[in-house]
Amino acid sequence: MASRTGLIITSIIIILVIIGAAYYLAKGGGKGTTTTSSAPATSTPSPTTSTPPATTTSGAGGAGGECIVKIGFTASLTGKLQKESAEQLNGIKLWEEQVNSKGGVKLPDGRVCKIKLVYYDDESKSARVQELYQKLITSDKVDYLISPYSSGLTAAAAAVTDSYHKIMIATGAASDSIFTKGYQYVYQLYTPASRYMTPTVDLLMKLDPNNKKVALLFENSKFAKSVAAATKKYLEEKGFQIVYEDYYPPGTTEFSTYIAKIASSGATAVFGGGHFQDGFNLVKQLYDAKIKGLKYVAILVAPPEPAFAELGDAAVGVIGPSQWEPGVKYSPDAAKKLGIEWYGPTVEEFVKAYEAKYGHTPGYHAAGGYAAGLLIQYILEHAGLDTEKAKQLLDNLDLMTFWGHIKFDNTPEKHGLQIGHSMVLVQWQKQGGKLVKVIVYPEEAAEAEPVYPLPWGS
Amino acid sequence: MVSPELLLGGLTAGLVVGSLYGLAALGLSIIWGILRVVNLSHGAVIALSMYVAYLLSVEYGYPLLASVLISIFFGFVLGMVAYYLFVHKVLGGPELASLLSTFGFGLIILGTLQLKFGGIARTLPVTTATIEVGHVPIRMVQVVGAVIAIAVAIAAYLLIYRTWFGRAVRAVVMNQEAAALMGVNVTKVLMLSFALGLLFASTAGTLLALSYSFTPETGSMYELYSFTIVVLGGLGNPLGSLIGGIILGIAEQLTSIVASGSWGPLVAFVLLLVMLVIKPTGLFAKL
Repeated sequence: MASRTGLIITSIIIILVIIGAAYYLAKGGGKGTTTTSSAPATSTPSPTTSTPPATTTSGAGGAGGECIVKIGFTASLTGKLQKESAEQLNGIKLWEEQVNSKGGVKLPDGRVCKIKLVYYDDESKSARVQELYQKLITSDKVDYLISPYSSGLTAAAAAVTDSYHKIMIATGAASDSIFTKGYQYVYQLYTPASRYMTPTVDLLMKLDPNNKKVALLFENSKFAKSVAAATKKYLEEKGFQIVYEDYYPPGTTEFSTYIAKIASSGATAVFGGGHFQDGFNLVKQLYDAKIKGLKYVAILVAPPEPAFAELGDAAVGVIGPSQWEPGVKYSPDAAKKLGIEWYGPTVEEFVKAYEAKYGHTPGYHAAGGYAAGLLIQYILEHAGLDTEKAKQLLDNLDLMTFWGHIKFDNTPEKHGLQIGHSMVLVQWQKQGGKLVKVIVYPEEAAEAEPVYPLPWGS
Repeated sequence: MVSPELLLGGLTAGLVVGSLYGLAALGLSIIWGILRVVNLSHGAVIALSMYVAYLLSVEYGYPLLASVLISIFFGFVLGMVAYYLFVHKVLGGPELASLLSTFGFGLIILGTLQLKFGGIARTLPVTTATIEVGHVPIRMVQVVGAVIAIAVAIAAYLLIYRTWFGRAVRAVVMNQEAAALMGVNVTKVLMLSFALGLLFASTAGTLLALSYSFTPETGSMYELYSFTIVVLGGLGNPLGSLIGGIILGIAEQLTSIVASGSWGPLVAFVLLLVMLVIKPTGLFAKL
């Protein structure tokens, strides 16, 4: 008996120590995730809502009186997408805070409404997403929706939201295929995969019209393959010669044999990548291999991430497409030149406000979150709470914001697909002995001249 | 078509990469062979050792060599503690019990790594020369890793078949009661065996971290490889794991040379299937 008591006491002590350690680490490491909704996945989770006290619900206040607009979405507070989703959520929260601190949004009927965010933890799982978006629409009765983070989760959410004819602004989702399913109420903010890498081809043509022998080495994953297919088609249209093409399995870390084949193919430019990890390892090993004649490397996803700088010299000269960077030059003046309406804060104002609230510079995930909120604000101001009016507004929208150009495909085949926004290209450069990430393309957004050819090719 | 030089390069790259796979699998194999426990914390321990090396060398600024040595032997110490906390009580019970408790141990490690480091990829500051074998660039750090992996596997083999400790281990595997009656401290043998298994995992993890970037999820990939290799090479046999790993590495590298890299996983699983059909015990018999 004594040993059993001992065992129970030991177990209790161990459990307490683990809980304590976890709590300590959560306080120290888990920044930004206000874990109000840490309630586990019960069948009826309580929504995480923020600031304004729910005095009246939407529509209840009379003209001029206070009302509340509910914006619903899910965020991946836990699970594998937690990091990116947290940034996107930060962006949405900053937008909500700014709107409410100014008193709210003025609807066309004259009412000034505060914003109330209603969101749940989707645990990075699409099954949760569908359940929760249904709940947001039917029992929380939100007015407009924002997508979860990632193409996979957004595709799951869209299937539900569109059947209820609820408008959802898709952010953090670059897939084209969501917009070929005939949905009429989903609108994409990100540049789709089909146009992800095409600017890297344009830049190469501008830098060196004679560099025509290219190698393609992308990850064998849904996203990377769709980017690769579009890039390949574009390269062929532009008269490039594809001397090597392969797709490595997801999770690949060792690239030496691929690199040997690239080297023996005589390629002078490489397009490739997939996720952060593999892109990072691929560049590191390309650098170590010092391929003769290699002048240009464009990699998907990895280069815009700050962690890419850990490559040191290997990072220098590598080109990568990014949805948005804090240094982009979109401005009211630029909009005026193009004859497009400008809306919302400038890039500098957004970056400054974000840094003041969160203590770090926003990346594109955060900017995408804020942009989704901003677009909803625009809808509220111009179409109020009328979904059909809002749909008409979005279908014919042509807008410039700090996020860039926003315009949606309004044909039935690809309804809601983003056709205005374009990628910017970043490159890591050595400036005064320090590695810095600069925008090099397109010219209207560029901060510096691109380095070409690669300083570490031979 | 494919030049013999490239093939030679592919073989060498496969040998180098595969010996590390083999070392990782060895940790899983030995724990199963001796304790009859499927250690589901295997991948988490591999990831943990990567982060121990990272924490010491990058965040605390210790010399790389010292960090690497500490992160390797950390696995052994962790194994001794974890044995009493998560394994000892469930030995001899239903198999599900040990599966659950080692799985839980792995979750604690992974959760802690996620909280502390998040999902961002990390890397150790290692720059290295490369040698070219048949046009395939092979980095020196990998060659060193492969030499260590092969040496460790051979040492493990000698330990089990040529020493008193190994005799005690084999006795415990055959019949625990009889071994105890002959004066073998069964608990101590089991504890040390578990610690050895984790030592091999942390050695593999540390050596892999020198070559590639990693996230907390990275370990689970090598855990999957390890299961494949253990079936290929035969459970519990150190040399079997090493050779199984090398076969898998060569298959993977040659596939990307001869055909397309995207066939790699298919080739690996076909190999596994063939092995299960023609020789279900694996290439080498168990302990």
